[in-house]
Amino acid sequence: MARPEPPVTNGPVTCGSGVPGDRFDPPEDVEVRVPAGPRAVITMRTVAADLAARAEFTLDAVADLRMAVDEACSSLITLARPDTRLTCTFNVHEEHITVTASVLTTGAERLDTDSFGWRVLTTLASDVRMLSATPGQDGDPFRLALRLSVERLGTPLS
Amino acid sequence: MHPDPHDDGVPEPGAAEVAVREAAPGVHVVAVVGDVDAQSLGTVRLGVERALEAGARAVVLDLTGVVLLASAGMTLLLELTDDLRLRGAELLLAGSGRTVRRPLAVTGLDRALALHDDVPAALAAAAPPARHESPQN
Repeated sequence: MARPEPPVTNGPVTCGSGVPGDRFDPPEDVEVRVPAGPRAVITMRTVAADLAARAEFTLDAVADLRMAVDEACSSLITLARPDTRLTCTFNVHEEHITVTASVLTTGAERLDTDSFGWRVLTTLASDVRMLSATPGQDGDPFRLALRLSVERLGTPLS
Repeated sequence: MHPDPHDDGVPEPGAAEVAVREAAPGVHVVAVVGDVDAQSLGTVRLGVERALEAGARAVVLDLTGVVLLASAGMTLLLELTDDLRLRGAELLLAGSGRTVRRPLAVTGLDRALALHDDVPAALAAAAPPARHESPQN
């Protein structure tokens, strides 16, 4: 589905499914890339919820992840350059799922961390980080990413 | 509310459908089915608006059929609560499902919103439209 773009993360990103015949094991890493419009948000949150459910995370965790991905992607697409794509990588671990969502931006935009949406995001997910890549000497574009994790049991209620 | 004849009654992801009915004089129920997110805000807002135009002084927003309540949807619930209060009306929420309870609990908004378990409970909590002062005993 995806061809490599300048990565925000250091780790390798693999694309694809799990081992054939072993279909109850979720793939460890999935990357999805779609045009950065409103439909992208639906796709990403659906993929996230599906991966969490297949990894047998709790229903609360599935709900939290779906909302967190919705919020992260909704925020990012408002800053995406026209005709570019939203990229999400999903890393499924034993005890958590980490999602990195990113878009290409026109300049060094950042998300407003005083917004209600940001508060929701940081409440639902742990380790929420905003990462940005600035153009290098080879003309890489600006890229803004959000990385977040949701635990297997979901976010504890305070 | 009638079931959607086209499928199992659940709208497309990212879409919501609303049905408005009068439950009692001045009390309308706006039933929402589907996703309450950035894309479907207008639909939900329109349903509440229709209830107000029909003379509702209390609106019960039935969230029993909500599949996803996103943060944009939670913001809408807060806005509607304030809007109606300013207009002398009242918004009550009904829904006990995880898809509604969970986001409101995680964000703490369940303490700021009038959330009831189901529509009958919300209707019972709605202020009577033309309440007269009780005679003093």
